[in-house]
This record gives sequence, structure tokens and C-alpha cells, in this order.
Amino acid sequence: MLADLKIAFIVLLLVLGVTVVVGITAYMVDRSTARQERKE
Amino acid sequence: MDLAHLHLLLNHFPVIGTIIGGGLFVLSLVMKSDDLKRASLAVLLGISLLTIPTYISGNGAQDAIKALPGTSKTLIETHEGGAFVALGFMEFMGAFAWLGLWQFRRLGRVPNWNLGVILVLTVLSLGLMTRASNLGGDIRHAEIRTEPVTDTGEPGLARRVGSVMTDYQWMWATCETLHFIGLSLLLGVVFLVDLRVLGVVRGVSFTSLHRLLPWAALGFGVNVVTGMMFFVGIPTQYIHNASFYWKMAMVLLAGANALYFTLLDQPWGLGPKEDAPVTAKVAAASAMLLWVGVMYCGSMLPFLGNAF
Repeated sequence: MLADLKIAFIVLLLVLGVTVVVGITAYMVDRSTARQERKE
Repeated sequence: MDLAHLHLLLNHFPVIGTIIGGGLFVLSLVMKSDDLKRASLAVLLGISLLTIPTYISGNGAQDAIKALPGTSKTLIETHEGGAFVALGFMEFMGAFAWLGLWQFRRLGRVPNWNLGVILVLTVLSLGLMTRASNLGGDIRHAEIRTEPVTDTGEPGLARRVGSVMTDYQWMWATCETLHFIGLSLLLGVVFLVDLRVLGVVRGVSFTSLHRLLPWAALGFGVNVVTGMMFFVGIPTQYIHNASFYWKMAMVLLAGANALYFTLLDQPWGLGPKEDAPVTAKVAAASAMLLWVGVMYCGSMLPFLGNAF
């Protein structure tokens, strides 16, 4: 039971971590390109 | 024809294609030609996609020759490990080449920082892929080996990564969840663009939709990484699986379809209420069919094939 909970927690943490990294990357790409677009 | 034939057919493309794409890219920088730059980025992106079936078919070739007399397991796994690292760099190169094409449409140029990144990744990918090819040649060509073969019994890099996938329960579960998140990101954006091309949500301009494409590209990236982790974990459940072959064929066709939308100027110049040309509509409809096919074959891996 405890081992299952540990696995569930690790999976949740990793999935959230990767999702946040992907989200931040996409947001930064969009923002920085929009900034450059406005400059030009 | 089996995967061994396919590997022999494809295994020269990553090296030769990167030389051609990289050469054109350097030439475009020297000549300051935007058309040449876009063409070279498209070649590099196409080659990075083609490297995936090249790698996958390698495990089929391994299966076909592993029992032949004089075949060294150590040499096979050294080649597999070298190809795994080279594949990683090739996919990063393809990702930045795609970003360059996207930036070109949005800004009318590729920023200098990305040109530098693409150049470095192309050189590194070419070096690593050449090394992987040479290691592959060693397996069946004793005449080019520089050292005598000694089977150490040590697993290669790809096998060690594969063991992490199978030895730790949370790895497979994490990759599976991320694979679905990547799929949702990718198909969410792709279907939105395709539906707009087909005439739905006409009030939305193509320029607005174009801004969403990096989200789809990142979703695809997540799926390439997690998909390769599944494959490296248990290759045998995929290399004899017809459903997997169909899935990969449709992923590549959908990739070619994405190249059409990335390279051609239609329909991105159209504003709100404007109708997309017929060729774009055909491409959009076929893309939707292909992605539904990818999902279907992915879900059917255990039922039509031998996975899990």
C-alpha cells in the first residue's frame, strides 16, 4: 500500500514537473517572439 | 521486406541527409539567402524525422542477425547505444530547425541565436551519427574493425536506459501520462488549425492560430521522447507488432503533412472570414485522418499486436 502511494506520488510529481517546464517553454517562446515582432 | 531490409535502406539517410542539409545551411549563411536557409531547415527537419524509423528498424535488424555465427552482442549494443545518443541530438536539431521555420514566418527572419544553435547541433549530430554508423559497420564487416572483438557482457547504453524503464514502475507510468498530455497538446492545436482550414471558426485569423504552433511542437517533442523511452524499454513488443508499423508510418506521413503547412505560404496569409485554398483543405483533412489513425493504432498495440 505504502509502495503504491510512493509510486503514485513520484509519478504525479514528475508529470506536473514536466508539464510545467513544457508550459513555461511554450509561453517564453511566444512572449519573446511577440516582443521581437513588436520591435521590428 | 522486413525491418532488417528497412534498416539497410534507411541507415545511410541520417548521415548523408545531415551532410546535405548542413551543407545547404552553411551555404545559406555565406550567401545570405533566405530561400536556401528555409530549404536547408526543411531538409534537417525531414532527416531528423527519418532518423526515428532508422533507429527503430535497427532493433529489427538486431533480431535478424543476433543468432548468426560470429555476431557479437557487445558490438550490436555499442552500435545501439551510439545510435541512441545520436538520435537524441538529431531530434534536438530537428526541433530547432522547426523553430527556425516558424520564426521565419512570424518575424521574416531566423534570429541569430537560433542559427548558432542549429549550426552547433548539426555539427554534433553529424559527428555522433557518423560514429554510430561506423559502429554499425563493425558488426558485420570484420575488415574495418580496428580492435579485436571481446564480448564483455556489459549492456550498452540503450539497454541500460531500457532497464530503467522496466525496473522502476514509476518510469513507465510517468511516460505514459506524459505521452497522453503531449498527444492532447499536439492534437488540440493541430485539429484547431485543420478545422479552421476546412472552414470552421472562420472568425479566427490564421496568424492567431500560427502563434499556437509551438505548443503543438512541444507536445510532439514530449511524445517523441516518451515514445522512444517505451521502445527502448521493451523493443521486442514493438518490432513484431503490425499496429506499431502502421502507427509509425502514419506519424511520418503526418510529419510530411506538417512540413507542407510549415513551408508553404498558403494559408497563413489569410485573414478572418477568408477561405483557405482547396489544396490546403485536402492537406488539413488528410492530417486529421492521419492523427486519428495514429491514435487508433497506438491504442490497438496490445489488441492487434503483441504489446503488454
